[in-house]
Amino acid sequence: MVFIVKLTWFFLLIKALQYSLVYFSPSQFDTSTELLLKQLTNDTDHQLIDTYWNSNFYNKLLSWDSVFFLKAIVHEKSPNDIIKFEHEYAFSNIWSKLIYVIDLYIHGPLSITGKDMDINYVYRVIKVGLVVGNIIFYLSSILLYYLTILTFSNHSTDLKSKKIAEKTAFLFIISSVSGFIISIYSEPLSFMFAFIGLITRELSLNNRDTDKNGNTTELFDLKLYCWPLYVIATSLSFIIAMWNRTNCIFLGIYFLFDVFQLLYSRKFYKMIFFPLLSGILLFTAFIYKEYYVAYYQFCPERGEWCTTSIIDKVPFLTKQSFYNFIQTKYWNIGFLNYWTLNNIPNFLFALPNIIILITATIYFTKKYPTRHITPTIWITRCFLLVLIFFAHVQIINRVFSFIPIHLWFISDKLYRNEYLMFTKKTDVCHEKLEVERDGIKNMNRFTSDSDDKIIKFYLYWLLFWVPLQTIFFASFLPPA
Amino acid sequence: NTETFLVSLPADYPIFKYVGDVGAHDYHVLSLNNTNNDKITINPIVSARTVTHYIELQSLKKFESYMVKTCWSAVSPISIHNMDTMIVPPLQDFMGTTSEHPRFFIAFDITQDSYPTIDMLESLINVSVTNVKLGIPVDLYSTIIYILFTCGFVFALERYLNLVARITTI
Repeated sequence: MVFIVKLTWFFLLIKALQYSLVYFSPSQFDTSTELLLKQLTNDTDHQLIDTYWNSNFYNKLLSWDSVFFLKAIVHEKSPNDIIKFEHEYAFSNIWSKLIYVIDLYIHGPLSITGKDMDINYVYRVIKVGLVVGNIIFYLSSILLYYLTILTFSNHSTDLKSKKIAEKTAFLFIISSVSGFIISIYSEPLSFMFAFIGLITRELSLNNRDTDKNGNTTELFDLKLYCWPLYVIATSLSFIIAMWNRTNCIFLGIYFLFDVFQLLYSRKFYKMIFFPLLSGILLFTAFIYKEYYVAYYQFCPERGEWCTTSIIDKVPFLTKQSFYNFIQTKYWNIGFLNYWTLNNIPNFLFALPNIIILITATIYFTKKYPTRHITPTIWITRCFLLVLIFFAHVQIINRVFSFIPIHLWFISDKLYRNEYLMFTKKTDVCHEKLEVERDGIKNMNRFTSDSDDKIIKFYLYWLLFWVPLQTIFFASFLPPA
Repeated sequence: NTETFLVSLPADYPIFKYVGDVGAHDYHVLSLNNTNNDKITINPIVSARTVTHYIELQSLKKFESYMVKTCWSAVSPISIHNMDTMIVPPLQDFMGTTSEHPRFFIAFDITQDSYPTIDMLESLINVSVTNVKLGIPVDLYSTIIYILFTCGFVFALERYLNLVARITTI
C-alpha cells in the first residue's frame, strides 16, 4: 500500500513537471496545429482556438501522431463528413474508438449545435484523451509491478522480486516513452494489454516441481486449469495490443517459445491446446486486420497493393500486409532506407535505448541466464533488428515500451549492487544470508563494471531526455 | 508536416524601395519590412495533378539568409516538393502583373499524396519566411533558450538533490 501511494505521488509529480514544461514552452516550430483545428472545426474566426488555455496549453499537445488520432476521433463522430485516407489506417482505430466511446459515456450526446459544436467537441475529446492516456499509463506501471514480481519470483526470494518490481515501476514512469504520453498517443493501450497478457501467461505457467523431500527443480509446464487464462485472456490481450499497435505481433514469440518448450518435454496435447491454439488465434487476428479488412475496404478499386495477391482463390492474401504497404509508401520504411547522412541525429536519439536493450539481452543471456526471460530476449532481438534496419529508428524511444527488459535489467543490477553493499557493511552471519550472498557473489563475478557504467549513463540520459522530449513535443520539433 | 529551405538574395540584386503596386495579382506576398519574420496562410485547391505556387518575398536584405518554411497539417494528404527561388526581371509580365523592379519569388509544387484522391481538395498551408542569424532562424531562439534553461535547471537539480542516486535507491 505504501508503495502504491509513493508510486502515485511520483507519477503525479512527473506529470505535473511535464505539463508545466508544455505550458511554458514558447512557440511551435511546425505551425500547422492552428490549421488542423481550423480544418477539423471550421472555426475561421479563431475565437476558441486562441483562448488562453487552448493556445498556451492544449494546442501544444497536438503534435506528430496525435493529429491523426484526433482526426480519427472526430471521424468517429461524423464519418460521412470527413474523408479517411489510406495512410491514416497506420494509426490505431481502437484507440480513437475508445476515446470516442468514453467521451460519449461521460458527456453524453452533444447538446450544442453548429460551429461551436465542432470546436467544443474537439477540445472536449482532447481533454478526455489526455486523462484516459495518463490513467492507462499509471495503471500500466502498477501492472508492470505485478508482472515483475511474477517474473522474478520464480528464481529469487520474495523480497528481491518485490524490490526489483518497485524499481521497475518507478523507472517505467520516467522511461523514454514518457515524453510522448503527454498527448493522445496509442502506446499506453498497447503496453497495458501486453502487460495484462504477460501476467495471465505467467499465472498459467508452472515453473517449479517439488519432490517428496521438498527439493524444487526448475521446469516448464502449463497448469491445466489455467486454460481459459492462457488461451482466452492472454490471447485476447495480445490481440488487442496488436490491433492497437501492429508491432505487438512480436508478442506471438511467447507462444512460439511455449510451443517449443512443450514439444521438448513431449507434452503434445498441452502444446496444441495452449500455445499453438493461442498463436493461431493471434495470427488469425493479424491476418484479419492487416489483410482481410483492408483488402475488402479498398480493393479492387485501389489497384497497386490489391493486385499483389499470392493465391487467386484467397485474394486478400497479398505479398505484404496493408500496414507494411502504407508504411513503405508514405514513410519510406524498408531495408536500410533510413540509413542516410541526414538521419544521423535520429540514430543518436535512439542510441541510448539500443545500447541498454542490447546490454539487457546479454545480461539475461550470458551473465545471469534464465530460461524464464528467454522469449522476452528473443522479442527484443527481433524487434531491435526491425527498428535498426527497417524502421525510423528513433521511434524505439516509445515503441519498445511494451517490452520492459531494459527496466528489469536496470532494476536487477541496482538491487544486486545494493545487496552487495549492504552485506559488506553488516556483519550478519546468518547461514541463509551467507548462502544467498555467496550466490550473488558468484553471479556477480560475471558482471563487469561496464554494466554499471551503462546504467549510470542511461539514467543520466533519461533525467535530461524526458524533459527535453516533452519540450520537443510541445514545440513540434523532432524526434517524432 | 514541414518543408524548409534557405534563401538569400543574389549579390547583384539591386537595392530599391518596395512600393508594392503591381496591380491586382493572384499570388501571395511575404514582406519583411520592419520585421524579421512573416507568415501567411494560403488555401490552395489541390488535385492529383501537380500545381506550382508562387509567393513573392519583399524587403529581404542582401547578404542575409532566410528560412522559408511551409507547414501543413497531417490531416491534409498533400506533399510539397521542388521548392526553389525565381527572379522576375523588371518590366516582365508575371501572372498578369509587371513591376519596374526585379521581383524575388519562391516557388513550390503541391500534389495530393494519398488514396482516395479528391478532385478539389481544400488544404491550408502556412508559409513563413524568417531571418537566419548565426545559422539559426530567429523564431527558434526562444525555444533554444528555453531548452538550455531547462537543461541547466535539471543539471542544478541533479547536482544538489542527486536525483539519479535517489532513483537508484527507490
